[in-house]
Parts: sequence; C-alpha cells; structure tokens
Amino acid sequence: MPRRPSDGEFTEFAHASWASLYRTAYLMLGDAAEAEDLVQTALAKTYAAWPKVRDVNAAPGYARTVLVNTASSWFRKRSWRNERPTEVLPDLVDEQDPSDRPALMSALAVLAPRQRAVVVLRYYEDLSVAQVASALDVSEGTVKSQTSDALARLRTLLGDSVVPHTMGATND
Amino acid sequence: MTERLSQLLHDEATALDVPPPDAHAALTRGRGLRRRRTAATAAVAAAVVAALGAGGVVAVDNLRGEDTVQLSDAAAYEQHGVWMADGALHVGNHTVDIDAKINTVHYTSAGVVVVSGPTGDQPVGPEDGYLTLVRPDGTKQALEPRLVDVEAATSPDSPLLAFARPAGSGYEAVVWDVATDKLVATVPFDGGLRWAGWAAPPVAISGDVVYASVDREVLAINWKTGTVEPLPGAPGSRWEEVRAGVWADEQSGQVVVRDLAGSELLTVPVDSDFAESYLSPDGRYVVVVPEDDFIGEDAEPATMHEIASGEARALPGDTLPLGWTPDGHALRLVGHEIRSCTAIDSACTTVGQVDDPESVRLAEAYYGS
Repeated sequence: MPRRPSDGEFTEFAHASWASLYRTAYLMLGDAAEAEDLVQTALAKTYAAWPKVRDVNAAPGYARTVLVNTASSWFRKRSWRNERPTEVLPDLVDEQDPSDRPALMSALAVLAPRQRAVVVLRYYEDLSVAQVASALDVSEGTVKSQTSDALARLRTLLGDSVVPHTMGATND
Repeated sequence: MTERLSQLLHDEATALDVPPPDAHAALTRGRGLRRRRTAATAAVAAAVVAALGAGGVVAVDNLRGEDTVQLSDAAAYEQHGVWMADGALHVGNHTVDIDAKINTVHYTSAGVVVVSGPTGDQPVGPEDGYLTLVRPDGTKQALEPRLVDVEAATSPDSPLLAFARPAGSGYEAVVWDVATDKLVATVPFDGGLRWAGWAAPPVAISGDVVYASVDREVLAINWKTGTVEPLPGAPGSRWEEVRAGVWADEQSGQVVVRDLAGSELLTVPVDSDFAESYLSPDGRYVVVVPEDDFIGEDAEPATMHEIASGEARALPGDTLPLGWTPDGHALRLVGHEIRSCTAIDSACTTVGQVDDPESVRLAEAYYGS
C-alpha cells in the first residue's frame, strides 16, 4: 500500500511550487491579489486530495491542473465576465516598445479571460492545443479560434515583430 | 514563430514580485475542504444506517475509525478545539494540567489563552484573571497581564489579545502579543459604561482594530494608527462580538449579520421577540438562539448559518453554553460528550468524553465573570 504523503511533505511542496504557480496565475489573471487567491485555492484543493497523491513528484502537475481548472471556473462566473476585459484600450503599438513589459500586460488585459488563459497556457506553459482544451474543458476548435482571435488583437497592440502574421492557431 | 511572444511572457513572469508562500493558509483551507467532504460522507452514511437499521452500525464504526487518524498538533488544535473537563485542559492532541479554576478560553494563532483564577482551592473572584498560553503542542507559559474585572478578546488568526482597562478619567485599549508576551500598543478612549458592570468596556479584536462596547456606541479603535471612530450601525450598550470583520445586530424578530461598514450580509428571522447570536471565531458562521430556547421548554431550536451562503441547519438540544473550534465548528456539550458540529450538514463528531459535565468549559464560550 503506498505511503500517504505527510503534512510536512505538502508544506515543502507548497513552498517549492508557489512561485511557479503564482507566475502562471498572474499572467492569466493580471492581478496580484487574485493570482495569490488562485494559487491558495489550487493548493488547498490539492491538499484536500493529498491522500490520493501517491507520488509527491506528481503533485506539481496535479496542482497546476487544479489551478487552471479553478481559473476556468472563475471565468464562467457572470461577475468575472462583466468585470473583464477592460474596455479601455492601451496605447497603440507605435507609441510603445513591444519589449516593454507594461505593454505586454496592457495588451493581455484587453483579452477576454479565456483568450488570455489560452495565450498563457500555449505560449508560456507551452501546452499543445489538445492540452489547453483539456485544461480549460473546451473543444480544440474553441482553443484554436480563441488563439486566433487573441493573437489578432495582440498583433494590433504589440506589432508584427512580437506576433507575426504567420503565427496561427493551428500550430500545436 | 512564437518565440518572441513566449520570451516576453517569460520575461514578465521572471520579473514578477512573487509574494511569499503561505503554505499554512493552504493547509488550513485544504483541511476545511477535506473535512467538508468527510462530513458529507458521514451524513450519507448516517442516512444509510437509518435505512438499514442495526446492520449499519458497522459502517458507522468504520467511519469513526477513519476519524481516529492521528492529526498533527496544529490540525488537531484547529479541528478539535479546546475544552476543559474533569480538571484537565484538552488542547487538540494533548491533555494539559491547569492548576486553577478556568473562567474562559480564547483561541489565538499561537495557542489558546486560558483565563483562570488563582491556583489551589481559593475561590475565584472577579479580580483574578491570570493568563496562561497553552500551545498546540501542549506546552504552556504564564503570561504577564492580569485581567482585573475586565473581559479579553482574541482572534484565532492572530497572536494578539486585547482588553480594556481604566486609564485616567477614561479607558485604554491594550493589545498584547501572547506569542512574545510583549505589549504591542495602548490606545486611550472615552465612553460611558453604565450598561455593564466591569471595570472597563468589554472588547473584541479583528485585524488592526479593537472594538469597545460603551453606552451609546461601539468604538472601533485602530491600535496601529490610534484613531477611534464608531462602528457604523452598532448601537452600544451590548457586548458586540466582532469576528473577522463581521458582527451580529440583534434586533426584535431578527438577527442581522453586518460587515464593518454596516452593510447587511445575512438576515435570520426568529419566531420570538429576541434572539442571541454567536459568531464563530473565523467569522464564517453564526448561531442564532431564540430567547425561548434558553429560558424555557418547547423552544424553537437554535440554528447555525453559514454567513456567505445563507445555508442553515438546526442545532437541536441544549445549545448554550456554545463553544467553537478555531476553524468554525460549534463545540457543544451533549450529555457526557463533547461534540464538534458543522453548519453545512449538521454533522457532529464526538471529540471527547467527560465524567463531570458540570466541570466543562468550552473554548470561546462565555460563562459569566
């Protein structure tokens, strides 16, 4: 019978995975407090399922899946939809250096929550279309169309040098 | 072709100011989730037992067996809580001898603060408020302050203890760190105290604010900034519990739970002229006890409400005195058993047995002083 991981092992795991989970959460949500809350929620859910975690090495992947699933459920809430994305467009690309970090975050803020999540999962987490579809519980076609729409908006805001026309949603 | 966008995303992520991890908070929330699942399982099992009759007893015993899994000291402290019975203080996994008559027991993040009278067989008087910190690991430490005819307050997520005492022509709020046994702050304030018989107003503490109940209002005293202002909507002349940013406004025919701005979070109608309310230490639950429940028979049962969702369940049987665990379970004495009950499904777990029910003191319950 596999050994049940201890609270101490969970604490160690939480410390080790915190920064990585937070970075993904922040890129998806764009708000420090919400990102922290998301990571806390994901870790709490992971702990609740801790007796099922038979190999501590599998925990990071489990926690990341829980994090994305939780964010996805947040996106479904009406209040979340109503509050985002911002209707105030950031400055146009020719007024900003696309390598400027605020420019990237401003551009991401324009995207709808699920579009933003798709971009982060595909181009930060380097997940395939199929993996993103599974994580967000949507079809692969939805991922492709969301990616296409998101990249078109990002191209307008950040320019061809960051988002070339050749970048499409079909590459996985 | 995605390299540039990927690189910018990684640059952004790398440059982020990542807040420090709070594994303890995740553990605490996770335990709550796990416990709710366990409680739900227990409730289903209880229903099955009822349907199957005696054959279901095995299932119950098995469930109890799962509950006996040894918890860490911190988890046992949070989930099982603290109570005094038969001359011993039960703190999570540990039983601690306290050679004193215990008046009240308060949770902090550093452990439980026991307010007691003198040691030995001397009678406890209102002037005898010795404080002892008992940590989740069972170790104890005498604390410097003495509560002389005043009432203290704590919060389970903080090591701070607050009380008020006479100072000059008025009073001062005192904030004490029980983990270090050091004074943190004192803030002077004024206000009538004709409504109560203590030497200083009773208080509550939530975050950076101490709430003192005086004649005409409840004063919100920020011990960090020194500002003193009324708690909106709180009438005064009543010991107002403020727990984790919420308080309960007891009105004729209803209890209204409000936030610190006075906004209504939950209204509980009661079928009696008056009801008492008891907030859980974490501010998530409120127990409403109709007046008839504590003065006579044929009473409407007390109800336990989850403030955020409004879900409510009855707490049949004698409700008072009502204690709590640090994580919001109601602690009750039922016969010779100490039971921990949830609001979600009324699932109660027996967490202790006592020989002498008269000797019981539940944490966060008020026994008068």
